[in-house]
Amino acid sequence: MSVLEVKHISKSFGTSNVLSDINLTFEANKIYGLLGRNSAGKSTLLNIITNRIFADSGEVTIDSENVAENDSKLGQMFLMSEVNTYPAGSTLSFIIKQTEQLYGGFNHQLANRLVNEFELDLSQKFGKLSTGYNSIFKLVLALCVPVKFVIFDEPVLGLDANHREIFYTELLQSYSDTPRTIILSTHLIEEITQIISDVIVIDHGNILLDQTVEDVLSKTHAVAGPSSDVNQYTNGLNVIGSETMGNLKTNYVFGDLDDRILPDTVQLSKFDLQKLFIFLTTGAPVKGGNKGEN
Amino acid sequence: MKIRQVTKMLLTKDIKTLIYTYLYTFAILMVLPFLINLLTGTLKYFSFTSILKNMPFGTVFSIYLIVISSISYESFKMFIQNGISRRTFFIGKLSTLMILILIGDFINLLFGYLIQIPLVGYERFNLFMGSYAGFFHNVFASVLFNYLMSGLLLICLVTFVMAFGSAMSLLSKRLQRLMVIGIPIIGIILIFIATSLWHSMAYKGTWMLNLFKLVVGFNAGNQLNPFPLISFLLVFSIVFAAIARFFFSKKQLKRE
Repeated sequence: MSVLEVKHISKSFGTSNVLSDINLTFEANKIYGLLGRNSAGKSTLLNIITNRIFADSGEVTIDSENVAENDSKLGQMFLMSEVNTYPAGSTLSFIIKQTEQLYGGFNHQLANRLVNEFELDLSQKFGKLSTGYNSIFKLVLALCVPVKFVIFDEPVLGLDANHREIFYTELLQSYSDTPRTIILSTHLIEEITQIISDVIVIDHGNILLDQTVEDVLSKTHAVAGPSSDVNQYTNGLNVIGSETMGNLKTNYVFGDLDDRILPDTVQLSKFDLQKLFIFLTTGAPVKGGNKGEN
Repeated sequence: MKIRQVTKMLLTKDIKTLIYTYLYTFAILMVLPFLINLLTGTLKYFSFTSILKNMPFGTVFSIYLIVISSISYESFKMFIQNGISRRTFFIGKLSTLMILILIGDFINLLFGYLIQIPLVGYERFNLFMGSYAGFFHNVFASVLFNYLMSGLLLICLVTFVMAFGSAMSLLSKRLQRLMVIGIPIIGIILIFIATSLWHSMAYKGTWMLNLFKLVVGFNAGNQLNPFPLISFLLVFSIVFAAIARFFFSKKQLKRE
């Protein structure tokens, strides 16, 4: 049961502070959703985790061993990202062969199935692939390498709805067949809500949220009703957003409700991860409560 | 560490390129003139021997080594994608170049001893044969040291180029272009200055000249001694390999 730990990672590019003292733990056999707005620092963090770039400070460990310059630990991770790291002139089958040689194994059975499902031609050259098929090929590699940590950075870039559906289905099937830690970094929150077990929200280089999806969703409360009643009920709670329509108002609360009495005029319901993400990462001032809770 | 896999992968690719390089050289310098002479009806002017004795396999191999040892970023991207550390990549790259030098140097000397030396004489074949061969009175020792010294010269070349190339790969594309234009200009100016100094009488007898004599193994009136130069080449290679290793350890994926 391997554990990947990110310890006090900070990173700046010039005067821009991209990551500030990030601490995270990725436990074995869980599926994490890494969410954040554009330029939040997600890709930088993933590149640091896989030792593609250096952090200014801090370290990344697998089972307490630093991954930097460590083949045995680096070989336990695979990062699928939009960056093209393969030679444009190599054929897909040749890249698969090289990947197998370097990772010491490859699930050809799964690869063949995926190649057929996605209708991928392995005799093509990598540089000739369209954006969608470029992503698809890298997804095939990511799902078929024998690693403990599979990291996807924008995995469905350029994929149509059908291909995205195939990917999510195959991801779950692959996870079910071979449980391992999966980190999904994406903007398509609604599509991964049913897949991920834990959610991490990063914003301006800081971790806003790092909890299980179940815990997070159990803390979301949409309080709707007449404005004055809603404000009175949510007074002192962690209101992270609100919407008003005429005299009706909905306050979005993130956190535990205390045992205050719910007025008859006010209704309580849950709200989804995407809404929570938007409220947590929007800079708009929040009325009636504190913004964000970590 | 996965040095074996990395070396095998790099070697497979680079040997293929080496074979193509030799084939293209042969085709351009031998087959093409033959075809041109054949088509223009001037075949009587075509001299197989003349072309063969001037076949620059040694130079071509050196240029090939310069090219492959200077390029490392594309391979770095592929290896870091596949969980290979910078250290393993460096060792793999260096091992590959050493193996290629063993092979290429062997081919060059074989070609030299079997074809070029009988045709052009041993003095004009290479640095060793021109300056140091007479130091040895045993033919086998002479051949062995020729192989060693030629190999060491090539190792110096690749470690220097690796150090330079890996340092360049850390720079932005704009800076790389500036360096590519600027360095030859500065180099030419430096060579010009050095040549002027060398020719000035006042300069002779200074510590630099003495150092040069020491390095090349100059003994007044006697045959040059190859061992000081061999030692110098070894130290040079180790220093530049260390510099290259340092720059390899700084490689990062660029934002493209």
